[in-house]
Amino acid sequence: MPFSIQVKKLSKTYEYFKKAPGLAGSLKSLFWREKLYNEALKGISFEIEEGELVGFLGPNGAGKTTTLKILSGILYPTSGDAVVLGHAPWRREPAYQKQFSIVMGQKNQLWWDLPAQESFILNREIYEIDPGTYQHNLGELLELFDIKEIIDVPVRKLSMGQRMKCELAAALLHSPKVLFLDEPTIGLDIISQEKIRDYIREYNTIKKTTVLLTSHYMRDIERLCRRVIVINNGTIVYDGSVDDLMHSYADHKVIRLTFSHEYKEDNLGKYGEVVERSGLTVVLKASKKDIARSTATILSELPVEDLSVEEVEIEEVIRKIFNTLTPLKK
Amino acid sequence: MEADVPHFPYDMKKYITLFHINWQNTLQYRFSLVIYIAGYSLYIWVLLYLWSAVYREGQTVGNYTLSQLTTYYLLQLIINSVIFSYISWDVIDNIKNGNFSNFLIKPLDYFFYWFTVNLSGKILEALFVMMAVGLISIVFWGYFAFPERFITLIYFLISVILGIVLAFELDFCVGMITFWLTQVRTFKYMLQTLILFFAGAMLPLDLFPDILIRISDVLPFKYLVFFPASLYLGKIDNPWPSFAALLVWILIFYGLARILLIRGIKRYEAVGA
Repeated sequence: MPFSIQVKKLSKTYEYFKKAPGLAGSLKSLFWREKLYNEALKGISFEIEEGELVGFLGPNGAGKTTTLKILSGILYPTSGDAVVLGHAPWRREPAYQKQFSIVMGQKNQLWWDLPAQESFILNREIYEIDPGTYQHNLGELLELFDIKEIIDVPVRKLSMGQRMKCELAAALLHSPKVLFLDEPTIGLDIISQEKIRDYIREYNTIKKTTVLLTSHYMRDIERLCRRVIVINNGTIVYDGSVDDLMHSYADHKVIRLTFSHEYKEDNLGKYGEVVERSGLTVVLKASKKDIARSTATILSELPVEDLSVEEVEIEEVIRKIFNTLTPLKK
Repeated sequence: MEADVPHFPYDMKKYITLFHINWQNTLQYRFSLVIYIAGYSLYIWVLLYLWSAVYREGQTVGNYTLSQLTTYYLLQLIINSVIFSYISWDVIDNIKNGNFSNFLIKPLDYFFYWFTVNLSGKILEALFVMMAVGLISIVFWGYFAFPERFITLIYFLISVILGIVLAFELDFCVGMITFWLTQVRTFKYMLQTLILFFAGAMLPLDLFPDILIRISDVLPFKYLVFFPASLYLGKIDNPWPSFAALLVWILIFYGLARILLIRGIKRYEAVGA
């Protein structure tokens, strides 16, 4: 499989100025300003194959958006190299621009006061889509995103979920080969989040579009991506399958049990770490290695009515990676 | 940076579509346009009364007759709305809130984008303002002087078209400052007042003291109001040297706008939104 995206030792350092607080600080900064540097990316490398759907995960300020901005030509890297579809993104060649799209959950690309349809028409001209292809793509997207009814309503009157669907449709009209999504589900309610996820997955399956998606909602990544890149403080701390991530960093499982009658004794610690205990239910964390032995002992020694063993939540795994592997540096 | 060089007019169609869409966008606010016209009409009416009062006292003002001076103000109002660009307010917002990024990812030229939006807005505004001025000039028939020769009208039209281009370029350059200065609004207010003054929007420039006339002569701003108004009033016999100078100014500011845009993008790329 050819690579859609290749990133080698990409670094980005922002320059900014320190300003003392208050009016005095403002006046002082007119004459003298201390220059500060912020290393947003510290030489990251990764490759993404054609048609892959990859999640980019990390806390705020980790460098996710910076990476997407460099790959879409908005930012110029300080050093390193990136090639997307054979182009250096920051050269902003129209030949490249016509082959990718970026949707940012917090930014609006549609005309606010006009129906989304008008923005679609403008995009048709901007991306020079021929009328036949346009009609075909539009029909497909209206169907897939279920937005036939809302594209002639002014965008300002749409709900956030509806707007995001229209934003996605506008970004996909020119059939981009690469799609960058920056927090596409931010601010949406659970149901809309779920829908947007479904649409993205379906589109990726049908069109084989390469998708790189950032999010700090673990659910997005868990549901959508087989591969995840975890980034923290400008360095990649994990790059691999979501399953492997769970395997290598989740060394324990969760035992959830319900007692058949009230059990007051305080000896649960020997079966595992008590995470939660309320009334008849207890949640325990037990090491993966001896999960079989723990459950057996629990079943024989405690008055258990119901017991289940669950994988730990991906959230917790990620939190663990961030806390143990790369302690926050100042 | 060859990608940032415009492909105009090869991809003119996208700008024509943009022109249409911006009209629709502006027409969403029909009511505010009506209010705008009503406000304008009132303003013109007050001005006419003020100046007829001045002339009744028997004074002459410079070498302007009452009808010439009132015509100057009526023209100034048309010109002000047709020529002057206020697009930099949007440009400033666009750069400040990071929506500028949308232009870096699309095959679209930033300069021509705003040029088109400005032009489409100006033409719509011109139609509305001309209706208002038309109504008023019928009521105050005697106050409004028409050119004696048809060619004067043609000259006037050329000067208005070139004026739109120059005014846009000036305004666009002001907007570009946002890349370097965050407090660009204060600066913009100051500059706008200065430009309006030296354009002759407050008073015909030839009523100024000598020193101010000489200053305004080396500045490009007089081409925005004073020059087209003087053409209309038939005060300029041979407009061609001025047209040539105006063209040179247009080229200079086009170059400046391009340089500022390219350097601004460099800075934006480095700093981020």
